[in-house]
Amino acid sequence: MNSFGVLFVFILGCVAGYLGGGSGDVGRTSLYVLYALMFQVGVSIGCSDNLHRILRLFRPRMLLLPLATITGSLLFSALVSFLVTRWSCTECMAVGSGMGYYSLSSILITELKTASLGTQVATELGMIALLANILRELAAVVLAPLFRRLFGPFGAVGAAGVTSVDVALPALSKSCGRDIVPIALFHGFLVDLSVPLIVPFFAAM
Amino acid sequence: MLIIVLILLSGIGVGYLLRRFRWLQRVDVTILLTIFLLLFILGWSVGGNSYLLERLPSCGGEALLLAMSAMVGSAVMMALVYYFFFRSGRGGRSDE
Repeated sequence: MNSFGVLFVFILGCVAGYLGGGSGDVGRTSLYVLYALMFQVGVSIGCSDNLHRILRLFRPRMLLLPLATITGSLLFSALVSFLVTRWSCTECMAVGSGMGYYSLSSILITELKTASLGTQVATELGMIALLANILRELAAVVLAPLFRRLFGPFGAVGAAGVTSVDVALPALSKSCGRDIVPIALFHGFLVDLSVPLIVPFFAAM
Repeated sequence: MLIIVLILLSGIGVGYLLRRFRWLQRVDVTILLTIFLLLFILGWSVGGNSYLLERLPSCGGEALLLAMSAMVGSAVMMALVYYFFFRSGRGGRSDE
């Protein structure tokens, strides 16, 4: 599974950095690689087959689904920021708005926070975003039945965030029934689309 | 931030215009490789930094808290949306 590959590469980088000694000037490089990533993400959205399939099944009220997930994540991230004294409200919201998209959100936050927080602290927040969103993905799969029981089938989909479109889809289908699949696909696709817009919004504040 | 949005949009435009080309679907692979590269770089800056390595355990706790609260937040809002917008209309409406 890609999650392990991603974690593995991150750990590999940690080891390499540890042995290599000193972080060096990675700022410029990672920024341009980030731009390259964003372009590719855009391309994959634009040429997506799913786009037409989803548009056909579309009903206006379904827009409420990604909206609910995004609003809920932002609201509760803002609330919990009072407990997390080290980070500001918008910083917590930036992490929460990753909604399970750990790779992109951590990278975006590290890059965009460097200006205001300095490389060190920005990388730390990026690391937290990475960990938090990986946990979200894992929890979405493992705890799908629990979320279904406490918050209903839509609740389980919302908890999964972007992962409802792929990684969590089998777990959701199993615990909520096959009918949830189009809902989960539509929801996940749109939440996925929102992450590159919302994370930078809060990270740049 | 604006640059990122513009790059994203131009990517969407290019992807849409060139959607006929099947090889473009391979962008999923290149995205994964790019992500690997970026995460390697992120790992590199963490690993070479003793301050961050020390902070890893406490960061894990904060990460757990943030993850759980965001998930619950989304779940709660979705449950509300279901209750108010999807429950009553489900049975009889022809658009479903």
